[in-house]
Amino acid sequence: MTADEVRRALGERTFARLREEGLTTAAVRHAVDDLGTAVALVPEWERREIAERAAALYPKMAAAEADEDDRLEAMASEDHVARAAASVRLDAAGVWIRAEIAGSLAPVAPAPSVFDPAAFCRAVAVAWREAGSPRLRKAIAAMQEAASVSLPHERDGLSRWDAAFDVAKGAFAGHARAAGFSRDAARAGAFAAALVLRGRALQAASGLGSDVVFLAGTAAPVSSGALGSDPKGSDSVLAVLARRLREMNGLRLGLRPSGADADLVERLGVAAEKALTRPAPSAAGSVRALGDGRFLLRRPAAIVRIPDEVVSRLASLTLRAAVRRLEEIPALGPFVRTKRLEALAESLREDMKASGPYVSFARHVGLLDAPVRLGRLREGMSLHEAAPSGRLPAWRVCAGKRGRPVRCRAVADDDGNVVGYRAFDALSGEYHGRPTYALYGLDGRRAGHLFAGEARARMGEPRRGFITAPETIPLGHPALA
Amino acid sequence: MASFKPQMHPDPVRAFVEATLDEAGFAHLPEAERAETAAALVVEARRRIGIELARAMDPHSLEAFKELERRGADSDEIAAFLDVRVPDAEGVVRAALAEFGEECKRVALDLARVPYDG
Repeated sequence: MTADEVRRALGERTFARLREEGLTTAAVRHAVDDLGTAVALVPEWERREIAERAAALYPKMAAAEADEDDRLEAMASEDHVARAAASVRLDAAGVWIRAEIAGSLAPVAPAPSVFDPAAFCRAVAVAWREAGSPRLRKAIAAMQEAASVSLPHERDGLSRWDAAFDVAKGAFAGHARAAGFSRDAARAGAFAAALVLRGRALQAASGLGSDVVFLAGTAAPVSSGALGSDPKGSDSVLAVLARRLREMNGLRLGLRPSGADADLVERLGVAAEKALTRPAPSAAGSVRALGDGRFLLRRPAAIVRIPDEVVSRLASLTLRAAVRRLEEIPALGPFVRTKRLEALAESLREDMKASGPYVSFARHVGLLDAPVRLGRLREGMSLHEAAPSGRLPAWRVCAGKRGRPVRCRAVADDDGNVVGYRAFDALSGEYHGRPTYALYGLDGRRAGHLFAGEARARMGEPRRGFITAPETIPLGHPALA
Repeated sequence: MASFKPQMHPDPVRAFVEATLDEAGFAHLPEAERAETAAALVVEARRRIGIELARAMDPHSLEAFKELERRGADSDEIAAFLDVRVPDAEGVVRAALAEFGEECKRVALDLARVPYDG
């Protein structure tokens, strides 16, 4: 029986009654009896079961779709912590396991406030299918009870769950078709639901929390070459997002004053970046360069004059590092008070949520990339994340002792001059459980070391910490990396 | 005058999922369904990677990792931590994804045998 057949058989009078009485078991049971000739040969106990299942399924059917913000953030945010958090939220909401497909195995959802007849009919149709198949009924009961309980406690808990799941997942595509999905959508939905449900079971068996699992999963060291896949292939999965981006740019063109052209819009890289992680209304560039050292702030709506000197000092830093620097810079005179810099820093911090922390300050505000300026690594100097090519570069891998890979990333001084590389070797020591890094000047010689999260260079030979680091590593101009 | 063209960050896991979808017989899926399925699989692939990395850590390291998470450590620190505490971390990731890819093909095969007429 399909959802349409259920709807035709029940009619408006039944829906009105359900609206009035609420979805009590008795009311749903009454509705099942209303199915008329369709239930004529169904025994009493099975009708009761259909009613109970339908009542339980209904809130799941009416559950919300995937939050678009979360989906974009999970897929496209450059910050792995944001990707992990969005993944946790999507997983908790069960958005990939729709009840039309996974039936009773779909995650529990809160009851909707307004009665939705279409969702109710879909719930009855799926309940009907499940109740009508003793094998499927048994498999679902096993997965919800015994196998589920045994997952984290017994060695063969997962295999027991798998055995039950084999039966249940076979029903997914049928559920989806009965709920009106196209053949393609049914197959794809069943495919995703089956994999995600098994992933949840694996996670339950491991006893790990979603936050830890997704954080490790998003921070995992993985290189495209190692997977034997071409990253360019990822273009197609983002086709939908790219279309949104183009629409955003079109909208931006319409909003710009006269004289704006496609090139200008394109140069406002921040808009493009944000379009990937934020829906249109909040994606408007909150900090934009207006020229002559003036910036337009969204919060508060004001134009702030920042000397070119400050802009050039921040230009090659990452957005994250630029915000930290802005907060450190003292008052620059009567025209640029600390408060204004704080307002700019605060606004940029908001932007980071959308465009990611690793784009360079110059690129974020739509300026051309600043030419790379070089400096010298000195003892006690503060170090900042540098993005000389417009974005925090991937680790540059150099050969360390015995050919071991040493990962390096450019760092800059307070004035935005790139002074060298922060380097990491997997065999390096730890300090209070935190990894240590070495520092190399641009001439390739090791100049000091620092601990994780520390921004001040130390000079000399570290007695503990980065003792495995080679004395020199072949480095070059960071812009060429 | 140089101009900035927005580029999407190449994500190897996403590229892997795309390739897996093709191999599992979803190459010609309509765009909307494909994007939805790929998003689900990317998130799922990360879960599988996370589970395997966590399993590869000793209990002490796992606790230290949770502490890092609570402290809000940045990406570099977490990547460095995984490199240090998980022997051959990239190998673990590769194995987890390979197994996930195999599972995808198995599930796709199972679903191909299901009658789709409801």
